[in-house]
Amino acid sequence: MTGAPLLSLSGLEVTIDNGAGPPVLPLQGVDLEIFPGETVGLVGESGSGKSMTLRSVLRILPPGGSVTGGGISWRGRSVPDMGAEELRAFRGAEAAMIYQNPTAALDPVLTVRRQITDAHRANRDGPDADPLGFAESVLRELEFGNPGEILNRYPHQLSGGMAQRVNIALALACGPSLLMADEPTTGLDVTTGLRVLDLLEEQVRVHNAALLFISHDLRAVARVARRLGVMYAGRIVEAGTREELLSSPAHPYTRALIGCMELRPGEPPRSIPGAVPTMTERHVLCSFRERCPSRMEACEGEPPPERSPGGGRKMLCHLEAGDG
Amino acid sequence: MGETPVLEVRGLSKTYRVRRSVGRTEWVPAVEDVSFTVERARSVGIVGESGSGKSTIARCLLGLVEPTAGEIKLNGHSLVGLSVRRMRPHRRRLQMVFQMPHSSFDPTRTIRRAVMQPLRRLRADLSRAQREERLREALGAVGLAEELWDRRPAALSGGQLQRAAIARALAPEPDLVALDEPTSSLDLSVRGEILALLQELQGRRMAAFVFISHDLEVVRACVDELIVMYLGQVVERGPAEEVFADPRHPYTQALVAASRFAPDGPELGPKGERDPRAGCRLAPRCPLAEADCSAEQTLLPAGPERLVRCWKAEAPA
Repeated sequence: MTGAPLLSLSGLEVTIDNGAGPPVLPLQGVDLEIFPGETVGLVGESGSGKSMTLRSVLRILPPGGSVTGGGISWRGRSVPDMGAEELRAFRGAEAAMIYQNPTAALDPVLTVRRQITDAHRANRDGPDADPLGFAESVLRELEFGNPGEILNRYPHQLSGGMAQRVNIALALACGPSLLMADEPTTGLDVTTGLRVLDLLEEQVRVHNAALLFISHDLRAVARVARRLGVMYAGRIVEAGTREELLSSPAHPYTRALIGCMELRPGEPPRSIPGAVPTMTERHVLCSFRERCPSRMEACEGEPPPERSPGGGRKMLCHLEAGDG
Repeated sequence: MGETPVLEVRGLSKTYRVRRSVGRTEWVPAVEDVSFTVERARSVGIVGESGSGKSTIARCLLGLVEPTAGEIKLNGHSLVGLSVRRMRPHRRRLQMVFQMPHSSFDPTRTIRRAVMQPLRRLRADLSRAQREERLREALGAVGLAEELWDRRPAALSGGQLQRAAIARALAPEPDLVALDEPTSSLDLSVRGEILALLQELQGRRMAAFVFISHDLEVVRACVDELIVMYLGQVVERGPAEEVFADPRHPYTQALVAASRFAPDGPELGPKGERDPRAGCRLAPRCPLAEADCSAEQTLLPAGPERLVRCWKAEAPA
């Protein structure tokens, strides 16, 4: 990668203390850099901290949530220190988000036309701005045969796949440098979801934006992102290119996750025994050790070191490259 | 076979009346002329996208919606048009597992009470001690740790609660269990656990399963026979491994490719509005469509035990 990163998370820690029960530490040191035009995916189980990572970037943490360690920087500026005006300019125009439930993410009382043109006007006003022209062309690019007719519809008149494509149009209307997508295909049919992923990848490229995509489904993440991070218990435990990670996963958790994904005829489906650890305490030692098939003595004594199992890859594990 | 099948569905159709605006009513056929049988302790998977009619079939089986036409027979007894009271004796023979485990349990009740309730309602023929025995057997069979039996749903993970839901369905000793997307709300690391459990229960031949999902790969892992549906019609059926290894209908081919996230299947066009024209329903999206596809398609034999609703699939490759 050349040049400076768009977004850089270093040792990011988030605490949620809403008064109900002990404080929860969903992020325990996340390091991640995204460069202009790049596609990055984070994969992990529920509770691994992937949604919380996106939410901390846009500063939409749940009640009681705050950044308690490390930093988030956008083109060198600290996101947690942004003032109200600066934050408003940052959201949408610089970093936009697509949510999991496409129908709920749209305003139910406004037409598609109004929502897309409003977003366009609010974020890229100028003498030659053409919000309606943009709306029509982006909907056509997103495979709506008759954009004029779709523009007049209300969200309840759209199917799930259509609504998610409208959400992509809405995010692109802001002209962001980074598009973040939180499980955008989970509620959709397999075939529709696949189509939406391909359109998302294509449109991000056409509009010169970077993409940060998260999902629990490694197959979906690998379909759109060139660089992948595997999250577990609030940290990225392995990161590398998609080819490296899929063909030779090094961290025991990545290997186990890929094992669960493949359903081979005649073989019993695999799962990872045990459960994700509670996030009410800080994990100094490896948080996967209780479930790990390659667990050794060192795992109980010291925090996992950062290793490079080849290429540009990084992982947090006591295993030497090629072990296990 | 000789034996009466557990489930016999003949010519099942369900048409919904949809009011589009004042004075404009449309009839939407959700399920059209679907027939299949499930032999004792066998399993059938019904696969299709949303709108294919798979959930409507499940609702018809459970008597939650009244079919427009057709026959549903459980152990040879017709279920169509039965009153709630006349349906009751059949209830214990027919159980269901839902997609979202957390919303299919009463949050105020312990797991033990939730599993005991259908036993009390449906198995009045058993003594208290026998019901207790059934409860222990069912919760034991799904491998739910005993310390969780007296907990409430909120204390259980999605995977644990789905085990409890399966136990609740099995407890009254049904002949047929319908499972509607039982793994799609679960994490990948837990999905395998539930699929392995379903395979194991299937191996013990405790009940017949009707497994409904949009994910062909997942269904295939647990069933003997596959039925693929598109817009209310069966487009392909046959032994699960055969259909998965050698899908004949372009729609099935696309589903198989999609479930592997592989780019090698036929690429379907975007899902549009329902097309009321006669002929193949898939034609507007199908990359192989040509003029002859505008004729009404029927299910044609494509090998022993296999049927395909596509005139192009009939000719040997």
